[in-house]
Amino acid sequence: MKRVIYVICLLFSIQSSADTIDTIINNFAVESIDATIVQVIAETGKPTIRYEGRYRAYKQNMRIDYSKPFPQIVIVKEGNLQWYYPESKELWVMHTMNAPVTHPFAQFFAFKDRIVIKSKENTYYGLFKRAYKYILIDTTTRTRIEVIVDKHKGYPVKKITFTDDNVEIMREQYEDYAYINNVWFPTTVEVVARTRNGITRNITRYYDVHLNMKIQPDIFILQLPKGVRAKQM
Amino acid sequence: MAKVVVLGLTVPINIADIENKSVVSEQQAKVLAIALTNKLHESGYTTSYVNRYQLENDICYLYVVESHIADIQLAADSALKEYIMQDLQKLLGAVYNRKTVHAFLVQLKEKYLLDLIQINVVNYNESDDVSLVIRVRARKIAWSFEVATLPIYGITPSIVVTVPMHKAVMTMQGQVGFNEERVTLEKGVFEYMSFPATIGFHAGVLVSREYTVWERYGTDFTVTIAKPYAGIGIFKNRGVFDISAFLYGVATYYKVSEHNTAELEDTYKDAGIELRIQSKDDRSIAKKNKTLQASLFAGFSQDEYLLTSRALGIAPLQITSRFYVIPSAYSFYTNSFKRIYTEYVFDSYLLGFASRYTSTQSRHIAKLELMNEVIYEFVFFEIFGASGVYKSEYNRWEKTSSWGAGADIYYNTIIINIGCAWNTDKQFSQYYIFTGVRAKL
Repeated sequence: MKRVIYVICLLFSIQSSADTIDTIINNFAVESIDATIVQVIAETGKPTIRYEGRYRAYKQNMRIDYSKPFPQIVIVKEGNLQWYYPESKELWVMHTMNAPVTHPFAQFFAFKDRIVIKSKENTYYGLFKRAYKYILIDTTTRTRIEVIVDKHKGYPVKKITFTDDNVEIMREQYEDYAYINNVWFPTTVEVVARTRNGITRNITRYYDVHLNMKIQPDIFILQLPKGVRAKQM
Repeated sequence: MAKVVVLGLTVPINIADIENKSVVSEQQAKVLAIALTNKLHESGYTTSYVNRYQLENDICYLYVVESHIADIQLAADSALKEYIMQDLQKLLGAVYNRKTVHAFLVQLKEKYLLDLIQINVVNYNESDDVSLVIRVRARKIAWSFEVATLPIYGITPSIVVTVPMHKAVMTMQGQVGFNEERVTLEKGVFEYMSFPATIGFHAGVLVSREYTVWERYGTDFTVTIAKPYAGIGIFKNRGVFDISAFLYGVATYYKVSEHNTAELEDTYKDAGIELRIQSKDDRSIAKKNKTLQASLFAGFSQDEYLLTSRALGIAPLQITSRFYVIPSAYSFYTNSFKRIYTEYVFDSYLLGFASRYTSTQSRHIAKLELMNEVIYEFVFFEIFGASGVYKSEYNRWEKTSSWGAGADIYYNTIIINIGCAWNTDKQFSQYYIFTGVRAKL
């Protein structure tokens, strides 16, 4: 009986907020993006690597042409990832999530059906900027997600994911928002994740951002020279 | 002229030069079969080969036998055997590639701090597939080094050796200090901590000899300390914080001797209980951790009751992904007037006066640090200000403040620190430079 009451109380607390996931964050009307990116990837005990390249995405399809530290082409098309190294003619493939890749935060919405809002409260971020702090529960994995959303502009500034026993597994920061074609777009995105090897930090900076421009669909088809065989990632 | 067709090859090697060739004889087919086998071996597929060739009409077939990893046997003396085996399972079913397997094992060696990893590749049940027989030996010891320039003590290299054990850890630390052509500090600590469940056991012994100055009397002397301690406590976690509270029984022996004067010697002994509380957000992945450390010692010496408390709190606030505001506070109090129980006023909590050796019974310091990541994962720049009150050696409360700037340079597991500090009531030309190098192996 005690357990039943506890479950009812929990359900009540989960549904007590009037917001829905869709209304927490809006302004993601991005169909396509074309930008230059600089990524810095640091992993525990390994040298930090800086990548530079061109990032193009249209709905669920994405292509990155890295020029530094050496040429690489990454394509996500219909949920399939292809990672090609032109110099060694090596191709790795993997099936990934079929989620929108046009806005850095938009992938979060691929999970929205299994997420419920547990609480909402006023908070501050940065230097005394007002925000809402939402506590969300992923009903499938039981992870707890803390999302900080700017109170006035409605964009996400931070997302922290915890396991059900309070171990922080991922910390995402969305910064340097630019207002481009009536859309708030974060030009700096930092993702820090706990992996089996330690902590991995990935910082992506977007430059020369063009939103909702026409992107040729054939760029998402990888043109391979003869003799290249795919390896599963 | 027969066209070359390679059958059974799934691994990604470039065979365009072989496929583009034409074959007119069995001998040429054999040469191509050898060439393809060599190409496989050069690419790391050292157990795969062309097992036959066939000339049929105008086609020359080269049949490749790919050798898969069919079985993995692991011998390990490590408690991590199960986890290592889980990782090794990823190799099962793949075509054996010496380079890939070697790279994978190197990763495992780094990941699990292995001391040794050996591999033998043998035929699996007399088939073309292989069995990997792997032996690993866990690294017994982890080392970390630090060389810092500290106020009072000068250059202080230290070494920490950690021996991980099953639900326990043994730590040994050695530190020396050199300043103005004098050895200022010799310290050794041996500790053992066992944490079988939420209740843990911690015991250790500290032995040190420290060059000390008592500014009030213009004397300098050496304090030799032997301090064994043993305690029991609990581990808890609340949110992202790991919390521990331990209660210790502590006894300390002090020998105080005037510097270079063996005749003037005095000894002190004390004993008591000490409560140590620590809370740190170790479950967070933030760059800078929030920390609270507090200790309270209550006991008695030959001629007085003793009460000593210390507390340190650090609460970093991440303003942006590369900018932090780090407020911190430190507090110290002892009821004893004896020099051996007091602390220097100006040390790493309150930088600035490098040449002041005044000590205090009670001091309370607040510090604010602004830190910016100038170059991602490479250079951090910080400015700081600290202010505090302390009870002087003449039993008067006094105020003091300092400020400074510094930089931390990160390279792999090495952190280099350099900076400069000033006291607010002194001239700009009177500065204190501090440096440090930390490394973990």
